[in-house]
Amino acid sequence: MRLKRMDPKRLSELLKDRFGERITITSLEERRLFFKVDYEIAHDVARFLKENGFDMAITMGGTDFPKRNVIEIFYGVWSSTHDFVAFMKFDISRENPRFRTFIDIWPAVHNYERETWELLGVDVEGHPRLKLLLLPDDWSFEEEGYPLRKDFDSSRYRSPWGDET
Amino acid sequence: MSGSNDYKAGLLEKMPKTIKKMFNWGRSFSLWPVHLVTGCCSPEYMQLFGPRYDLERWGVLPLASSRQSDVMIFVGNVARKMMIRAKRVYEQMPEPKWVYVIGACASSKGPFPESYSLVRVKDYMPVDMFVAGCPPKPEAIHYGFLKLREKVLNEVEEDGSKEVVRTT
Repeated sequence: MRLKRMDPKRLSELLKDRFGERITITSLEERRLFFKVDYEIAHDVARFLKENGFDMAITMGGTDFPKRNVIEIFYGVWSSTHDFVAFMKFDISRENPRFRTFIDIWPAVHNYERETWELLGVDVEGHPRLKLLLLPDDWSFEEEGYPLRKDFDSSRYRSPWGDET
Repeated sequence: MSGSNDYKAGLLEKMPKTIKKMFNWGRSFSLWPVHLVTGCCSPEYMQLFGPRYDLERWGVLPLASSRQSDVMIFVGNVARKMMIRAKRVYEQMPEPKWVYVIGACASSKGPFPESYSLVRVKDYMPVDMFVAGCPPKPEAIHYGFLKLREKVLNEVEEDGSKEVVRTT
């Protein structure tokens, strides 16, 4: 099936038609579309995007928001048909941070999800290879924690001044 | 630094002073470096082997093999994971060997004092020469090499005596 080329505005209308009030468009730019969804429908939205030509996941990551007590996960997907990037965001709880993997929809997010798992402490369910990617092999999560969390204590890595021999 | 002078315990220790001096004179003109280019000081470091600074006229010939090198150069920030590999390369180098550290990151973590990932080189191996700067100019790295030559020439004897030869 050949898809008709569209711009971010058209995609936002399509998403509104399909998912209604459960999608919030946060930013609409010339070649970018940012929107927020509930986690319950995130996989449906992802599949919807894939069917509409968004075939290449270019980035994925997360942000920690301790005041709101959530971790915000985002996926950035580029489309070879429409030539713009759509950013899908959803919140997960900070007490029990877990979400199901998106590898079955976009295989390219494999390493990004690994990175999010180790740096933010988010459990990615169904991921085939959750092993350390960027952190050193002797890293201990119990002792040192997750580096991209806002409550990560980095002062322990500060070297004292004046210890030159 | 005591660690970099371990070779003195070997055969050379029994040699007369004159021959030792000759050895050191030879070494000072063939400081072959193995470089670990891990950070953004590398453009400045690359300038050194171009026509303008031409460090090879002092006998500094960059090599890819650690087994034939005398100097180990850290160019830029060194991560914890990199340090494991760097230590292995350092252990492969034959004695005598010197360590030369370029830039603020590798010397003291520079602008990232609380980084969970960066380490200071001096915590892991004896360092003979630091070059400050972020990044240091090629002139500074060049000057550091001349100072390192001076250090090789002015090797401290067991009895603490030291001959002063100036290269700069």
